[in-house]
Amino acid sequence: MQGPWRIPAAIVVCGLLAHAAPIAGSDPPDSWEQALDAENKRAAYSGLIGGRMADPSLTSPIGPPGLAIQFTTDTKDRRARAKIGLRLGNDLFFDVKFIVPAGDSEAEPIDLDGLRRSAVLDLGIHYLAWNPRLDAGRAKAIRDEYLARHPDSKKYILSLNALKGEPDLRRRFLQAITWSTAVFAALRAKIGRQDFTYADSSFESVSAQKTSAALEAAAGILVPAWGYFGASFEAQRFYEAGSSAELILPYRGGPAEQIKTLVLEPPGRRSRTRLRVEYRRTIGPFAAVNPRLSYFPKERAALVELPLYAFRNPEAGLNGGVNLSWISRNGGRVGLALFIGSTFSLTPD
Amino acid sequence: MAATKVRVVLKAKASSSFFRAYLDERRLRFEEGAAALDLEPKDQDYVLTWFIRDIPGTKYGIQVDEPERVRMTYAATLDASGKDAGIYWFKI
Repeated sequence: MQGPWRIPAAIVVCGLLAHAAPIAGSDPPDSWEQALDAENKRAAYSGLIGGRMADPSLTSPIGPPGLAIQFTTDTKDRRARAKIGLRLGNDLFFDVKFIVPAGDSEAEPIDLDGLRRSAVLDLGIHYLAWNPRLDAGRAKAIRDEYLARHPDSKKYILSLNALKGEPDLRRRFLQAITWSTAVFAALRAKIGRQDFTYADSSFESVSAQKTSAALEAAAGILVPAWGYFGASFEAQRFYEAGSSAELILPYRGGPAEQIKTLVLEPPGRRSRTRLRVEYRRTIGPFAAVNPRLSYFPKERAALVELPLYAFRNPEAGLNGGVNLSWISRNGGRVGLALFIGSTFSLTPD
Repeated sequence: MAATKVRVVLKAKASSSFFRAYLDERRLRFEEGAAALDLEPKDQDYVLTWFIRDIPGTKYGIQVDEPERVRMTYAATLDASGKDAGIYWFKI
């Protein structure tokens, strides 16, 4: 669980860390090789990186292929989520999310998610292809140039971070890298259960539990210089509570009366489809944006969302901010929400 | 007679989806953060390259743990560009 009290400390920590670490090999360029023996280097490495590393996306290609669990809460959505991730191969991942409504939000949701008020089991599989390359021949020429400038150096490692002190060599090193466009694809299936209560014809309370379902397909590309461009399609079948009314009824059969608000019809089955395009990118060291445009053909409604991630948690990364949204329904509604708990990632999670 | 192969163990720590490491342009497959390869000694250098893209502030590291004579450790925190890449030459 993350809380808002952790935000200021997180921002400060992030600010302190936004530079290459001293043991990266360049600051000063060679001193770490001489100053640290093997044991100390390992200790420094472990200290910097930490014994355990949180992976909010659960999609690290080098992480353990076993199971991992994370919990997040989101004040915008008022839902709690647990996620189990499993790496199936170098580029293929499977995950299961358990999502439950946290608290009884009275606010009418603006995003038309039919499963919002359900406890949801969400299964997904996603694929990520990315093959960056570095021209080793050009890198070797850069290393030779570096050694010519620093004859005492024993440098056998070059990196972008480590070449910050040599801007011209860094620029040449950057030119030797082909970052490549990454391709992302995902399929998700969701099953939700929701309790409903309504009054029958004799005004007796009736409880019913209904099952909703959704299928989602998403794909996108991460362009090196621009960010992530993606599109998705989701089809939902869900239940909505019937309309309610205020009734004046006899109190316990006596002469007194009471006013009761009752749902007078059973939940109705609905279906909805959603087309969405989105963009993701980081802005400098402290922020990220994820603008989304969704269209609901059946309702002929459009939804525009502009989440700005600006709060940082040391373990989860950018995981909070402000979301400005607008939906064309009912003459147009504007929403503004503060959210904490949804972690920003370069591709959808 | 075939040369005796040398076991090379590499380790990496990165929580990012966008982390890749290659040895002589062959992608390394890490299991629980470690990759072990049996390499034949050769006259030329082996070339380890790695790449990462993530949000600024992300920490990561890569190590050649074995054999001891080529051991190296590299760790960094991503700057505002959200990118880093590196190369390490070693001889077996």
